[in-house]
Amino acid sequence: MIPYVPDAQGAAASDTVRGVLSLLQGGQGDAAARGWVTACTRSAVCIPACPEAVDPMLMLRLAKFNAQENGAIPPRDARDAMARVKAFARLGFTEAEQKDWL
Amino acid sequence: MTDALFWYGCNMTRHAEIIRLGTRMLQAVGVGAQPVGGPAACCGSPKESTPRIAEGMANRTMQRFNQSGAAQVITWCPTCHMNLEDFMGATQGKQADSAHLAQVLWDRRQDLAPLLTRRASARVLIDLHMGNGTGVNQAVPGLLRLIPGLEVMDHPYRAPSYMCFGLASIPGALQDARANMLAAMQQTGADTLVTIFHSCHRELVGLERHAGIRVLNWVHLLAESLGWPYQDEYKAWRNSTDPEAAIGAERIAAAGEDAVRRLVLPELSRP
Repeated sequence: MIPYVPDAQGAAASDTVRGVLSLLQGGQGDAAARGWVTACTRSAVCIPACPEAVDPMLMLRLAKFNAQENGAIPPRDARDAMARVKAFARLGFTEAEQKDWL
Repeated sequence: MTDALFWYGCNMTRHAEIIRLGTRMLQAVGVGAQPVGGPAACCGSPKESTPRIAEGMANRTMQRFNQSGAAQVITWCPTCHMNLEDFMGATQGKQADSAHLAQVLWDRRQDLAPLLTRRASARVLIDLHMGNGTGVNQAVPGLLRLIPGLEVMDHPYRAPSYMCFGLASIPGALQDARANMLAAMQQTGADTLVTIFHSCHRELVGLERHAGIRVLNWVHLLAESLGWPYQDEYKAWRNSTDPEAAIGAERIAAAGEDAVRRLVLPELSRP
C-alpha cells in the first residue's frame, strides 16, 4: 500500500519502523510512519515475510489504535456506524428477526 | 442451549437475505445456528479509535457468547473473525470453537453437494483478497466448484486488504482494485463477479450499472443451485435510479424516515 502513501515514498524502511515504534509507545511517530499505519489494510503478507518472527500486522494495528487515541492521526469517524446498522436492520429484517437476531 | 451461533457481525444488516440463506444452509448440513449480530454483539472494531470503548464492547460480546453455551461460533465478517482470534478469545477465554461460514460448509461438503441440483450457466471470477485468516480463499472456490455447470475462472490477481472495506478509506485504492478486477474478468472471459464479504458486495454491486457484468455473492450462487428463492434488496436499491422509491414509503416510515434519509439513502445514492 506504500504507493498510496506519499509521505512514505522514498523514506528509509528502518526510519519508518522507528516511527511505528514511537507510535506504539504513545508518541507521534513521523509522517511516513503515520501514513503507513493509516494505509495498512491488514493483508497480512508481512507476517510470513518478517525475518524476526514477529507479527508486523498486529504491531501496525496496535500503533494505529494508539495513534488514533492520542491524535497522531485522525480518528475513524464511526459516529453514525451503529445507527446506520440499526436503520438497515429495521428496513431489511422482519420484526421477529429484529427481536431474535439483534 | 444453542448448538452454534451464526455471528453475522454488524454491517450485515444490509443483507438480511444472506443471513437467512446462510442459516438455512447450515441447517441443511446439520448445524443448528442462531443468528446473532448488530450493536449488541459487536467486536469493537467500529470504535477502534477509542480502544477502551472497543474493548468493553468486545468483552461484552465474548461474555454473551460464553454464556450462551454454544459449542461453536460461526463467523461471517472477517474483522469480527480476526478480533475473535487476536483479542477477544485471548482476553476473555473463548469457550467455543470458531470457524467461518464458508469453512463450515466446506467441511460438510459431502452433505451439501447432493443438494446443489440446479445447474448454473455462468463464468465467474471471485473477488479474492490477499489477506485472510478465515479460510475463505480456499473454501469459497471449492464450494462454487460443487455447483453443476458453473465455471470458476482462475486469475492470479488478489486485491489488497482482506475485504474492500479496508481500501475504501485509502484515496485511489478501491478504484484501482475495481479496475484490476474488471481487467481480470476481461482476461478470463468471466461474466459474473462473485463477492465473498458484505463490504465487497456493498462496494462492487454498483458495477452492474455500467460494466456489463453481474455481481453476486457466493451465498447467492449456492442458493440458486439449491433452488432457494431470495431477493438481493441492497443491490436493487443501490442500482435503482430512485432508491427512495425502490424501498417504498411504507417501509421507510416503518424504519424511521429521519434515520433512513440521513443514514441510508446517501449510501444508496452514491455514484
